[in-house]
Amino acid sequence: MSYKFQVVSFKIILLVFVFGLIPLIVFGSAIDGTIGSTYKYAWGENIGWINFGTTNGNVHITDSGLSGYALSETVGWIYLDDVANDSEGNLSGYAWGENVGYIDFNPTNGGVVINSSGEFTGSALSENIGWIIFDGDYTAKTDWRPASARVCTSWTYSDWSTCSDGQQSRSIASSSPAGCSGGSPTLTRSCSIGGGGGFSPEVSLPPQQESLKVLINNGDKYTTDRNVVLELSAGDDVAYMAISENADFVNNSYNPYKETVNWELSDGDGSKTVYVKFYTQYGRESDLISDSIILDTIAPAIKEINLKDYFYSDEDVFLFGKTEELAEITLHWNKKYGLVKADNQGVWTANLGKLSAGNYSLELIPKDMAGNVGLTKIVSLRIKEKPVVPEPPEQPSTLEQPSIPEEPSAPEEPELPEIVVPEKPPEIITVPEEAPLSMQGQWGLLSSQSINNFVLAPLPKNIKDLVKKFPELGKTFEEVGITKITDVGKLKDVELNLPGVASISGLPMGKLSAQVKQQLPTDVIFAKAGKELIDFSIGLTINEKGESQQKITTISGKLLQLAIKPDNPVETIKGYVVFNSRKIAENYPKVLGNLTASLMFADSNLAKEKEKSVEIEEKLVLTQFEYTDSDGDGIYTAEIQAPVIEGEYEIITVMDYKSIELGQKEIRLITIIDPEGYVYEKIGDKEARVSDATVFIFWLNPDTNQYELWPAKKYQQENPQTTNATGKYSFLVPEGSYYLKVEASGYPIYEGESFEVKEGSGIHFNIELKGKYWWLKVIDWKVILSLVVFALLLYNFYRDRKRNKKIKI
Amino acid sequence: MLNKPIALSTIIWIVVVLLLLAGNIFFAIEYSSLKGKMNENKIALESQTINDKVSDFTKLFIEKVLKADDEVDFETRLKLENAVRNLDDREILSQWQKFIDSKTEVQAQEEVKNLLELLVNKISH
Repeated sequence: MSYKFQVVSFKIILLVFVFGLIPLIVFGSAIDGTIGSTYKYAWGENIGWINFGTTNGNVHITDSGLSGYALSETVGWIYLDDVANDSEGNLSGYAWGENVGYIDFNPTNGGVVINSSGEFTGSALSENIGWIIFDGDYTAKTDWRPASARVCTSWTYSDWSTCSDGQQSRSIASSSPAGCSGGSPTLTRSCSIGGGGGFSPEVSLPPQQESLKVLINNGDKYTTDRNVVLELSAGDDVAYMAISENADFVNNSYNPYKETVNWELSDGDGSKTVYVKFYTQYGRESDLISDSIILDTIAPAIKEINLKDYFYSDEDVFLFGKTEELAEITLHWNKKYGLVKADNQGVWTANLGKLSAGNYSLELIPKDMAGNVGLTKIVSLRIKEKPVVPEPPEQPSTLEQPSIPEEPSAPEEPELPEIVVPEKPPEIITVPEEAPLSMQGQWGLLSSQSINNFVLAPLPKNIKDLVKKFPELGKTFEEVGITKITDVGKLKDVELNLPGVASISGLPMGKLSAQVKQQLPTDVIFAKAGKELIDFSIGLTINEKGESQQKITTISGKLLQLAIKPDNPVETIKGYVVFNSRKIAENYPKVLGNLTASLMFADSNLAKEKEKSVEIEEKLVLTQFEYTDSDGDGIYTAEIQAPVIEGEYEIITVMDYKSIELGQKEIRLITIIDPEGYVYEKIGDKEARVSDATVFIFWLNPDTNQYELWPAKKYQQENPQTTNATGKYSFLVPEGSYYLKVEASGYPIYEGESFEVKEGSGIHFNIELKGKYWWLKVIDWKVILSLVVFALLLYNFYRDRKRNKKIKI
Repeated sequence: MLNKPIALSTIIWIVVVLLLLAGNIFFAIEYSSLKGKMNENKIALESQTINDKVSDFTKLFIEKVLKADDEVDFETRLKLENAVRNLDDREILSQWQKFIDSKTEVQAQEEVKNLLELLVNKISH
């Protein structure tokens, strides 16, 4: 063995020995504790102090019990070896003193416990000397810790087990301090037969650095108290932490990770830095993180004040002095306050401005950056009127001119200290002693009325009118919390469905009873079709301004019956069908709820009042029509044909009242025209319309519960419909369950699936028919060519096999 | 007249002078451009500083005055007074004085609204 090798071996052994012993040295006292030099007393109610920390007493605390002697000046030595410990600090058994007899460490109504901080708490009882109390400022304290409070800081693991199923494991052989808890009892790692392996990622990775953070007192720059709160944050992988004011963490212990820790800064003012390290449950440590705070426990003082003995009333009162650097000084004089700030050298200056003659008291209150307020210093200010120098009297030239009295000599400047007189600053900003009315806390500075007007204002009038008109709408608003003007925004993307007349009564407008007609809401347009038996579902939307808009959807070219009940006698009611746009808005509002309100409507008004005569904006007016009231029931009706071209239209109804005062009103009904459905056959990527196809619609008769041919005649329509060259068909049907059937020559019969119609909707599906021999159309020359090539290949294989067989034979 | 051959050194001198001239022109343009940028940055910085000051004062006003339940103490009033003057804005100072000098609750409410409006308007984007 070479010398060099021996030296290296020795060094390794030395290192292993030293580092192996360190945990034992550092944490040895946690399992075999002694009593400290300061905190070492118990108090006997009849014998005074009992010292547990004498040199000769040699008191030791272990998991099993106490040993050694305590000393009382009154009764002498007390033998502790028979006091037992259950390893959690709960003491029992008896101590014994030759002058006091037995002392019970676990008596009724008492008992002594060593807590997780090593402090003796509670009380022991002696029959002869009474209670011995372990509480107070100097109560005995040990460095022994209950077993459950000892956190393992180092672990020795067994060797890895043999590799089995790609995994191997090892368990803790020993850990320190002895009897500690924590750490993962078993580690596993992936492995492969024949070596290799390695730590699984979670075992080998340190805590994620980016998630680690420490803040002292929520990031404050200063503190006046040594006791601060540390806010820590770390990832889920962190199990332990170590905190220290030394970056090298000498003699430091480890604790389970907590998000908030009360920490006592080291003694002495100045900048304090707290360092934190985090550990995973596998012992991998993070990089060091830290936060700093300036501890300032000393209040500032006004060290110097330099001011003249007196000032003249026509000059600025200027003073300066020294205090703690960057401290603020509040000045109080003549029923007002001012504030000045000291510079980096602690020099402050104050220009109080001019003061009238008299004596004043000036208070100076220093306050440093940390918030420490120093003692108030009071100085006197003396202000004098400047003496007036008399003009010399005019004397005849011959006479000897009297000597002009000399100006009184200026008072001697006070002797200034060593500091350089700073430049006079501008006059100090002051506030009066008494707070102005607006800051006396008696007034509400924010007008509650204007806030209430905005936040708690009721719904706009037209929406309230709607609610009155349709009680179900009111219920829906209540359910979804629309009660104030600020809630109107919630309705922006919502479409409400208003009930129709026929859906409730089942009768056409003309056949409604007088009572129902009376209760019909005014100024609402009801759109119907099919001899007034099919109600269109009227969508109601409310825009950002709180204005309501009605909307219906129908099919091109269909007849529409419109009805309106004006709220006041009208001269005429005219209607205009105006083109809006070809493009139908794609983002239809979401439906909030179907309102199946009864027709027990209250009187209300949906229309917009127009102060001036109504002007139809410059849009393409397609049709102009007039509403009539032939039966004089107050309900005006009109029948129009829906535009043929799909798109968005508006039906503007203008009511011209008899009363000139009322003028005119208009109601706008947005009308979406959907295209008709058509029957087609697909040829390649194109569609060919199928003519002479017969389209049937069947409805589910609720009485028989059978599908029957829908009675279209009742609704001014035909069923079945035969398509022309355009292949078009359409039905406007009331609420119910339906299905479509199409028969066309050369095509198999099409029978669609059943579908539900909610209210007055158009049926306009596009129906694809497939010819009887549709598959023949798939075969073209390319397919035939591919089939021939494939057949030839198969034949070739067949020939090859046949030839091979012959050769073998 | 005889054409004297131009000496190589002369050509080099001419080239050097031309290069130096070009360099001067280049750096003059760069200088001008950078000066312009610096002015822009200075203006932006001033604007930012003003924004910060106004924003800080607004925060202080809201926190210490509008949210106050009791009388505003003299320390806070001093801070506010110093802060408002530190803004160096006559309009704000004048509006602040109007608020301070309010004689009735309604007037104070009106002046608060005006002050807040002014402060928000002063914060440029």
